[in-house]
Amino acid sequence: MGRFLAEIYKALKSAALGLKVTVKNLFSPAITLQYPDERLDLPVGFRGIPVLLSDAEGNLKCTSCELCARACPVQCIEIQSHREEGRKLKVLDVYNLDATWCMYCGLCVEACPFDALAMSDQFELADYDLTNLVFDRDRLAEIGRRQVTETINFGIKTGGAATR
Amino acid sequence: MAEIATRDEQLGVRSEELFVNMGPQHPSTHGVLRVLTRLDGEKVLEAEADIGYLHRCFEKIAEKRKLFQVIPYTDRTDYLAAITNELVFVMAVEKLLEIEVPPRAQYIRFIMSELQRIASHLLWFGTFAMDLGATTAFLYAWRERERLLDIFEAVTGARMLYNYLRIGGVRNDVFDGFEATVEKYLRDFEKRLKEYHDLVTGNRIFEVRTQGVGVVTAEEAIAYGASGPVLRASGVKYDVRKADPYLVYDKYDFEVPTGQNGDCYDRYIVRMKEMEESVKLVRHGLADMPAGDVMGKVPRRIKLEGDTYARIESPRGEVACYLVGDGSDQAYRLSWRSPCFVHLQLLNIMARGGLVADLIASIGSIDIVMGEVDR
Amino acid sequence: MDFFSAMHSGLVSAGWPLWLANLVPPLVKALILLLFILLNCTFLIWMERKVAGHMQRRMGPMRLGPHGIIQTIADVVKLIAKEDVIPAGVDRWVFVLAPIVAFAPAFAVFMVIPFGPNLIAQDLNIALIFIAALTSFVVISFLMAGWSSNNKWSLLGAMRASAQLISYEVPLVISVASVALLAGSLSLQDIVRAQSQSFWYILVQPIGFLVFLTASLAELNRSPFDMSEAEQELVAGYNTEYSGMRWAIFYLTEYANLITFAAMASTLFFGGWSGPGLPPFVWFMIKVYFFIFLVMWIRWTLPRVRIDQLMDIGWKGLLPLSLVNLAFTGIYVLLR
Repeated sequence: MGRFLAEIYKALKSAALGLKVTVKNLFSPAITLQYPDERLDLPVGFRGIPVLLSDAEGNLKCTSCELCARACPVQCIEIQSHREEGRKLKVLDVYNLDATWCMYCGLCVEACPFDALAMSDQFELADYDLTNLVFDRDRLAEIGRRQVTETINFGIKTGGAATR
Repeated sequence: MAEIATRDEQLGVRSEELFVNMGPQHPSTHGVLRVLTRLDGEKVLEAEADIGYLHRCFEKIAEKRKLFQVIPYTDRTDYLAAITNELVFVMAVEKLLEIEVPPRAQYIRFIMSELQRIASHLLWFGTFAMDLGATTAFLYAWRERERLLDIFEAVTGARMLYNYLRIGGVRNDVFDGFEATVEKYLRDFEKRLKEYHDLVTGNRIFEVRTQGVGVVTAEEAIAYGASGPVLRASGVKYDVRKADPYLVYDKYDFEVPTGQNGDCYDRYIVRMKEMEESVKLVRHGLADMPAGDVMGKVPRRIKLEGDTYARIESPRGEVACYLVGDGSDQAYRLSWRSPCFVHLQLLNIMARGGLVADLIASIGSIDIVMGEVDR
Repeated sequence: MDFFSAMHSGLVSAGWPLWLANLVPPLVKALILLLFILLNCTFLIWMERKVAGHMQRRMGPMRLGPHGIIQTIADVVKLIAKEDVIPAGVDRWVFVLAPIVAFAPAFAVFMVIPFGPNLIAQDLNIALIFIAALTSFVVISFLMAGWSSNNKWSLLGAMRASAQLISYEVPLVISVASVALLAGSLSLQDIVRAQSQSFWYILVQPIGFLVFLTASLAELNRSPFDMSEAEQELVAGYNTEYSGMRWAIFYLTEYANLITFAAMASTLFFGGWSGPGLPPFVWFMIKVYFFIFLVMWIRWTLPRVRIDQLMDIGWKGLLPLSLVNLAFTGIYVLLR
């Protein structure tokens, strides 16, 4: 009899404790963000899609050394370049980054000796068409030109919201 | 199982057994685990785990990549505790190449892996409570985990798959004000722990659902090679952090919580206490973190020769890496010990004789990550 | 019910045949009740999501209408637009009938619920028995759904539902019997009137209320007793194979039963529509919504019990408690 009552008391008391916790949280403000309308402020150094950086004149810093392509564990970077008469550096013709393969590890950026590559804060890359996920030179450079911060921890922040 | 069969025979009845395929698509098999269960009504006669749905040839890939390129793949084995997986791999390489890691990097690794333990246990706490039907506790756990992931994001650049540790150190130093941020988090977290205990631990329904359910005796746990909280809940005081100290664990005194019965409740309590211990360890680490470099001297030309075995205590148990080099700059062979794989083999012991609901509780209590089981 | 008798005599004098005129008032009543259920369920589904969301420190639905208030309507539109899937291998007729069998008794129960002093479809003198009989009917539909689905999870869910039925149904009825004993009537309207003349029965029936609440949670298949559709264990239990409108009807039934429970709890223990100041219907709805919130609050707090533990609670906990309660109520009534 005593055990029976004690058991009921214990069950009710513990349930009441739990109910207290939930009702306290019911009247506390929500901690979530209404995503497309509100956005988290990402830290600099966040690893979104890697982008090509340009110098002050707007020319790409990339020298087509292909170190990034070699550092990539999934080989998602394709580079083609050619030499031109009278220019010391190679000219970058094709820089394709396949975002369907990319795992945003940032090893390409670490490999780059010229700071020509940085991880951007662009992460909303979803698309209905897979071919759109192969980012070519111009698109990567375009995102890179929106750079608004220094390169910190191999990452930058870009002004302007989405990739498209 | 034998006694169940004989009882049916004694009664002279033969009830038809029900063969149920639990998973790979099932709300609480934590990913893509398939459990082949034989049921007698609600009673589980046999539960056999069928794995391999998430196999990605991690060990083979590791042989075909440069050493630094393997690190992102180690993240993806146990994606809920990525730092500890990176750690065991870089430790193996550093052991083989005899690379000195600067003390600041050691401390950053130490703090990060303890924070990782909290994050991983939080997720486990949430999913375990959800497996038992307490949905709200799940969201509360994620609330705290998200803040922790914010810290990880600010330090490493990613929320789950960090690619942060490097052979010889860590990729970058922590941000300014790291100590204050973490300390503020820990203070809040301790308050939240009390909330979890109010909501779940003391709850009578939770107690009766977990006590005496999914029992693994110490002998069975040792025989199967269990480690981590599953082993400790059975009463064996074994922790790699104590038994084979790495990083700076030998400098600090911390408790290794153990249980007695080896049931789901003990596994739960052990993990909850481990979180408290982790909080203490992080505080120690923050107080003693020296200044200095975060990358040691790494030879430009890497030549892996010989073999080595490195092991650490991940949130799930003993993760180990056996690395063989043949003189090239890539691994000749890399073998990965996954604690979840071992623990999953205990599932039949835990589940048989219980009900379907107990099977779910057992799966939840061993904290499996299928990415790690299948690799 | 002057309005309906006026309607009846009006129709008769307008030359309608008597049998047709007899049919019209009940149909109108049923239509009003159906509208009441649909409106309230639409709101309740939104409320449940909001309560759950805010308890979990989320916002819940936010995108359609202010604070997502018309989210449910959008969901219903989506469910109607969905393909009507009848899986291969199901027992077709039973499968199709199960949601209807679930909803019909849940709907019929509303007939005897007193919304106000005169606001009742039919003041049945055996209302309590009527309700007890019909609310346990829902298990048949679970069995039908679970058996016909040809799915092992559904079957397990159905087995659980039928196994748990007797363990909560007995204490539930006994706890309700104590109230009937106090009021001296089985009619809900009489019970409310008896309370408005004396006091709310919760004052003398705290144990009875506790038993009633616990057993009702089991009857409603609500957490912590939602074994028959335990998502984490049985995927979705008896309604695993259901989708689209058929599933929506099961969902609707669940909320209709929730309203029934809340109405019963407020009628039996908290004075029903009686209360000072406000109109009776408003009092009734306030009490009903309080109990609905209570059930939701419990659902989003407690873990789920196991099936054998529910039987434990039912037979070893609730039944003795309700019997003791009944005995003491009898003595009280005798001495009164």
